[in-house]
Parts: sequence; structure tokens; C-alpha cells
Amino acid sequence: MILDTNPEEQTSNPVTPPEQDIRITPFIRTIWAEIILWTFVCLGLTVLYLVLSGFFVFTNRNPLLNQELQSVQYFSYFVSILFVLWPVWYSFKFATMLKNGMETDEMDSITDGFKYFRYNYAFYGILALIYIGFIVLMFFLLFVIGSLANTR
Amino acid sequence: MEILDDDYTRNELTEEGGNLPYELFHNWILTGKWTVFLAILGFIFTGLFALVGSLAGTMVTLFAQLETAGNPVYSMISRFFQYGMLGVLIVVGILAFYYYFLYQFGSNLQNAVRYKNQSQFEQAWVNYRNYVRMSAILIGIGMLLYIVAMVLFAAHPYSTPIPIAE
Repeated sequence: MILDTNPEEQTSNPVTPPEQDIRITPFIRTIWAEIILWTFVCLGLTVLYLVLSGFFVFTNRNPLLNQELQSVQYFSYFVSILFVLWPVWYSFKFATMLKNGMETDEMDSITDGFKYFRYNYAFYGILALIYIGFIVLMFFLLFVIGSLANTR
Repeated sequence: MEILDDDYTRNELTEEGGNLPYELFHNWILTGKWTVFLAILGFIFTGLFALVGSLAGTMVTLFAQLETAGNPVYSMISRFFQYGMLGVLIVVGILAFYYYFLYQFGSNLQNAVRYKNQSQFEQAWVNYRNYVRMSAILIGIGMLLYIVAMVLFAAHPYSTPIPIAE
């Protein structure tokens, strides 16, 4: 019976562990340092990819495309750069601020770093939602066009 | 929207949490929600990729076996798709692991913040470390493939450089 037991024993029940705080332990610091390193590797490779693809776009002429389509290709390259550089900037801010915060033990810097970390994934999430919206709209339009064609 | 609602997360969190500020927990729990959402989308994408890849392979093999028996082109394509199916399986396996790490990160981070569980908190960041490491490796492989494709395209006789304006 629960009522028969000592209140001291009830608080040390193994089924409900005692409340504990989340702490930034040395283990977490090591993992964060590795995350910063790999984030910088990702950023470096992405920037290298942008430079190489820019070189490829501007130095080679696709024989299948005429002059107007070539300018469309340039425009789409600049738009894609914008969409790539935006999250790259967030990741860069996250990595640099977290690194700085860990080095100087400044909690504000760490907090700001994780704010950019959140922005990064919010950006990808909103972009994914927009894509899903486009796909749904496309299916809806196809359905409407198909049903209109059947009625004629 | 629930994900973006500040009050929703504010109610879930307590003001405690050692010496860590409230904003940090707020950022972590929202990041966890977005990453779980993205990971679920990734799983759906991986499933669709597996479905389309397997259907394409099966259809080409069927075409090769039916009315086009003896056609060297179809037999060559079907042979290619046998290896292609292996490639699809490998890609599906890699993507499944990739999004699994992201999902584990997001769900563990949310649970760690909600229930103040240190071991889940550590597990979340280990998973995120694995995810970022895998991202770097995949971007590196993609870069190599891109460079190879670029060199092959540049070596094509129809590919001519843009003349420099004088």
C-alpha cells in the first residue's frame, strides 16, 4: 500500500526519477566542437560548389540553348545562389557564435548561435512547405483541367 | 501555426534549467520541431524514391522480356537497371540513415528539454553530430560527381567557351 510507506521512500521511487537540470557538460562541449568542425566542412564544400558551378555556367555555352535561354540560365543561377547562401549564412553564424561562446564561456553568444541554428531549420521547413503547396496546387490544377476536358 | 506559436512552447517549459537561459530552451524546442518535420518529409521522399526506382527497373525489365526480346538496346538497358536497382537500394539506405539521425536529434532534443533529461540531451547532440558528418560526406561525394560531370561536359566537342569580348 502506498499510504503505508514512508514519505521519504515515496520520493525516491525509481519509477519516477528525480527532476534534473540540463547542463552543458564537457561531453556536450566535445560534441559541439565536432559539430562546429563538420559544419565548417559543409559550408566550405557548399561555397566551393557555388564557385565551381558559377565557373561552369559562365565559361561554357550549352549548344542546346539559344541566347535568350542562356540568360535564363544565368538568372536561375543567381536565384539558386540566393537560396543556397541564405541558409549558409545562418549556419555560418551558428558555428562562429557557438565557437566564440564556448571559447569565452559567454552564454549570450551561445544563445544567439542557437537562434541562428533555429532560423536555419525554420528556413528549410518553410521552403519545404512552399514546395508542398506548389505540388498540391499543381495536382489541383491538373485535376480541374482534366475534369473540364472530360465534360466537353 | 502551432510550431511558430511562442506561447505554446512557453507553457511547456519551466523557468528552471540550471544556469541556462530560457531563450536557449525555446530555441532548442522549436529547432526540434522543425527537424522532426523535415525528417518526416525526408522519410516520405525516400519512400517515394524507392517506389519510383523499383517501378522503373521492373518496367524496363518487363519490356526487355516481352515484345522486345532480342533487341540489344533494351537488353542493355535492362542489364543497366539491374545495377541501377542496387544503386537505388544503396541510396535509399543512405537516405534512411540520414533522416533517421535528424529525426532522432529532433525528438530527443524536444524530450530532453521537456522532461529535463540529460542523457536524451546528450543523445540528441550525438545524433546531430552524426547527421552533420554524414551531410559533409554526402556533399563531398556530390562535389566529386559534379566535377567529373563538368570535366566530361567540357571535354565534349560541342561545348565551346564563350568568346571574350574585345
